[in-house]
Amino acid sequence: MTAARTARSLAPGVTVLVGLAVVAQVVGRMTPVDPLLVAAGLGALAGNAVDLPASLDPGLSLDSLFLETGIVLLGASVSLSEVVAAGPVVFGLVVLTVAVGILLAEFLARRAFDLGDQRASLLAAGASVCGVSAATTVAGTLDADREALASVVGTVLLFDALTLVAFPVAGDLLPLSARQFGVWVGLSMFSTGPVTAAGFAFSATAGRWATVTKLARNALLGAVALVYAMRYSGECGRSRLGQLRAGVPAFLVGFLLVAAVANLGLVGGSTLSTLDRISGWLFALAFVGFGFDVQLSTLRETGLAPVLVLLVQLLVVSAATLGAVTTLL
Amino acid sequence: MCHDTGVRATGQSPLSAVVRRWQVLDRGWQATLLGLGIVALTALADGLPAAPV
Repeated sequence: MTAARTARSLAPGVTVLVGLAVVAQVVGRMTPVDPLLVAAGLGALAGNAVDLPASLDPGLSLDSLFLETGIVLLGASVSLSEVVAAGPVVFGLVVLTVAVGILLAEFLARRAFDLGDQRASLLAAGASVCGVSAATTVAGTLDADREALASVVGTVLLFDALTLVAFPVAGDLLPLSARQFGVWVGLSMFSTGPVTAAGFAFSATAGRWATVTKLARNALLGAVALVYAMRYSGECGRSRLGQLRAGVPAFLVGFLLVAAVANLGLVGGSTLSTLDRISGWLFALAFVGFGFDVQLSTLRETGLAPVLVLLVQLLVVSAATLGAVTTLL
Repeated sequence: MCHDTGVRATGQSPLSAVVRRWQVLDRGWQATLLGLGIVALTALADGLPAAPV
């Protein structure tokens, strides 16, 4: 495909993302609602209200790239000294939360709801590591059937939409500092996009802590996929190092590089504030796209049992992590 | 006399070749390269002297 043809195929969808992101920013300034939540809401509204032409798909599918690029740029506003200072506690909580979350979801899905091995593992990975991308990665490792994966993806997306609203409301009601709230949502919610949006809906500091905590969780995907590969096959086709490396999201490298450049003082204050604004716009574009992904028709087909598994898992994990962050941070 | 039109013998322009290579990259690496490019361009733009009025 030529460059011009690629640009033409992306233009309609990107134009819709930009248009709705601008509206979200305007509404966000005129109301107390965070622009990122407005962006997700507008996307969901537009995506469910009208039948979208297929010509929008290529541009709309860039939302994940915008989200990950926004996170890479967010590295510029993260203070590595603060992260290192809180690192051992936060990383310990991340490892513990992922391990307990997986065991709990596996137990509930297999024993209490009899959902079968594959579906249980996909739900556990999606809820405990990083949502849809974790479920998809583990599905590849287990050679899971498409129906099981589709059901889990629908359930995770349902919770992404619900928690995107519920956690900022809880943040307003609970007496939490920005760091406590950020780490809490980073430990409890499922997917990276909604975690970032919920964090920034509380404050910029909370948004940064939420993203850093969530990235630490995402970094465990390789280890989780490796454990599942060994559990299901008794051996892994790919080398262990390869499996671990493939599970670590590549944008984490970019995030760390940008954080290192900024913390070494290689970029000035005005550059940092420009990067902050660009990152905010990329998140707005990403959350409009995320809203389009929330299709009510798909959510209705997910079934009650997976919803109940993730509901119990979320309630237990978020209550436990709330206690942990208020005690330890 | 022939001029270099920037189009290769295969009919593919250098820009299209770059786009094709970009499209086969993992999305995480695309985000990393895009992010680093934005940081570099922003730093460069901020470092430029102000235009004389």
